[in-house]
Amino acid sequence: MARPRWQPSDRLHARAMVTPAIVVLAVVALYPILAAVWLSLQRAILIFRERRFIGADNYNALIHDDRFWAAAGHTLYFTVVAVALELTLGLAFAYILHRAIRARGLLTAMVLVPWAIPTVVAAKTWQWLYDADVGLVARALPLQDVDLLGMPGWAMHAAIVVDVWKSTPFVALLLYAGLSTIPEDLYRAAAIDGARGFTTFTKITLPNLRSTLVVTALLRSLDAFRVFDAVYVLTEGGPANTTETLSIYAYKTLMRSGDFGYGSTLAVATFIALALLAAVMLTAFGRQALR
Amino acid sequence: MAAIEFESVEKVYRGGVRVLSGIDLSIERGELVTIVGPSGCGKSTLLSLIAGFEQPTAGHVKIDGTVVDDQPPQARGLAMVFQSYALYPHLDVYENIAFPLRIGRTAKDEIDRRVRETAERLGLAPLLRRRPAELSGGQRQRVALARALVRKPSICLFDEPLSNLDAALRHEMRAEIKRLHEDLGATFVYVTHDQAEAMTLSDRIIVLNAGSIEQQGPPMDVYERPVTKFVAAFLGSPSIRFVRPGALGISAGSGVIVGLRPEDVAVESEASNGAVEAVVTVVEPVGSETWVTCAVGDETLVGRAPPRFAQKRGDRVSLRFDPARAHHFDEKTGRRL
Repeated sequence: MARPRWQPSDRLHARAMVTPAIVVLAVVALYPILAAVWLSLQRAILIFRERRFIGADNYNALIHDDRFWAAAGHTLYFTVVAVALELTLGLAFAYILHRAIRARGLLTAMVLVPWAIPTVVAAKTWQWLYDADVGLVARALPLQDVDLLGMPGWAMHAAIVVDVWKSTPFVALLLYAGLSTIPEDLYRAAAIDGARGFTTFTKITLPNLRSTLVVTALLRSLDAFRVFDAVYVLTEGGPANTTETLSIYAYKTLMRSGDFGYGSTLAVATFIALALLAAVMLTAFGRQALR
Repeated sequence: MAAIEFESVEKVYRGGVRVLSGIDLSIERGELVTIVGPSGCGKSTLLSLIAGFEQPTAGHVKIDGTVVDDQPPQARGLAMVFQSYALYPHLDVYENIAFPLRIGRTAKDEIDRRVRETAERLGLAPLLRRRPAELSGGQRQRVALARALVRKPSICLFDEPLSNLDAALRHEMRAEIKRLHEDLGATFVYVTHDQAEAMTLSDRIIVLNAGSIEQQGPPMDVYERPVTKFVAAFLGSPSIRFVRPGALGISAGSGVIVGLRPEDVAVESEASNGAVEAVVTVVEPVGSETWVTCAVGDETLVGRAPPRFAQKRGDRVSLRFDPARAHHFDEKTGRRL
């Protein structure tokens, strides 16, 4: 069958159809990004009523800013540990849901509860649980009356627990959907071929779940890298800035100190780091999986 | 010793659905047995019981004389070809065929030798590095066969392996499977709903109906002496027609119904002595012959005519048949008389 030739009016029509979407994207995504980049090239401090172009000075300062590198380190640590735990636990839950014969709907609903709670509410709840005087977690631990959120080293892990608690359901649900797409006959064929439990898992389940795993890991990593509310509600970046992530540092600089120029530089740096993270993950695991 | 035995096997699913009852069956070593029946007759369940995907509710399944009721599929050492092919999509053809050997921890060079030998036998040698998604239906079916046969199993199960292929390929693969069976001498248990497959392939045919064995025996025996109306109707294409004996001038007691296969009824355009008069209702030329559906009074019969049969719908014809070829059944029970 011959393909209909494109008429000039068709092209026009096509352009007219995509224009609204492009306009919306330009207004809500492209403009803020460009504005932030523009701001990051200025010295703009609200209380001094100062605003002038300074070129790459802010970026120069960024490279020598230890607090920035520390925040980047915290963010990366938070992302890697939280996402690794979420994928492991999420896969376990997904497997249980997939194997459940009865009450699958009820189980799914139960697993999803933490995901349905707003992050700020969840973080506040956990803050009380961690409370040194009345918190259940603090009282259950052998070291009683310890302020988990006030101790460097502990606070970051307390925040990771909150993120894992909240996001594992999301991961479990995505992986459960992925598991459901693997045909039962593959498991039967593997059983006939002599494969037992663990071998079946590594040779059949995991390879066929690969693309779902990559997409889930990517979504969760991008989310975790931008983490703000869970940590901010819990610790506001403390103690001693040990839980300060890039988002929190940028927020504090921008909103608390009113340094719009340097705050924007931090935001742009976070944006670039995220883009790099996504690119690295996609080239490392994604190419085949997303084909 | 029998390769596979069923001793009064029953299978009832959760919720009380009875799919198999009173199955007694013995399949000899090296036999090619087909299990046929309409969908829902329990033939796939029967195969699942042999494979070990399901356990009998009552009775026992034996493989090589050992009761295997509680053995998982992994322990039974069988091979199986699935209707969906069930190829591992993330592995190429080579690795698909090698999979059972790798699980069985066969030596590397032995795996390579056997994979290549099996691929060669099935014409897959040029495709070894392709993924299943890059293969045609017929090629996938061959890979599934290769994966089953690479282990040199003593028993191989087939669950409607050809039903996803087109007619020409199905014919070709049927011959291939028959040839493989003769070469390997393994026991093949073949499930199908296609009576032509069952007739052409097997040493023995087992007709299943509503969860029970209706009849079993060599294909031609079953075809020529069906013990019930059901079996008579299930085997043969076009299928047998049942009429009241009176309409054909056959004398038989009351409550008897007579079955005549289309190939036993000759349709002639001229009236002749001793022939039954009929009116043409449908004419179906198939090239080598013409199948003619006729009305005999209130009854319907199908007969065979030469390739270029000139009569049309509404024309008068006469039907000629050997009364000895008529199958008599009890109208109520459907049993052969």
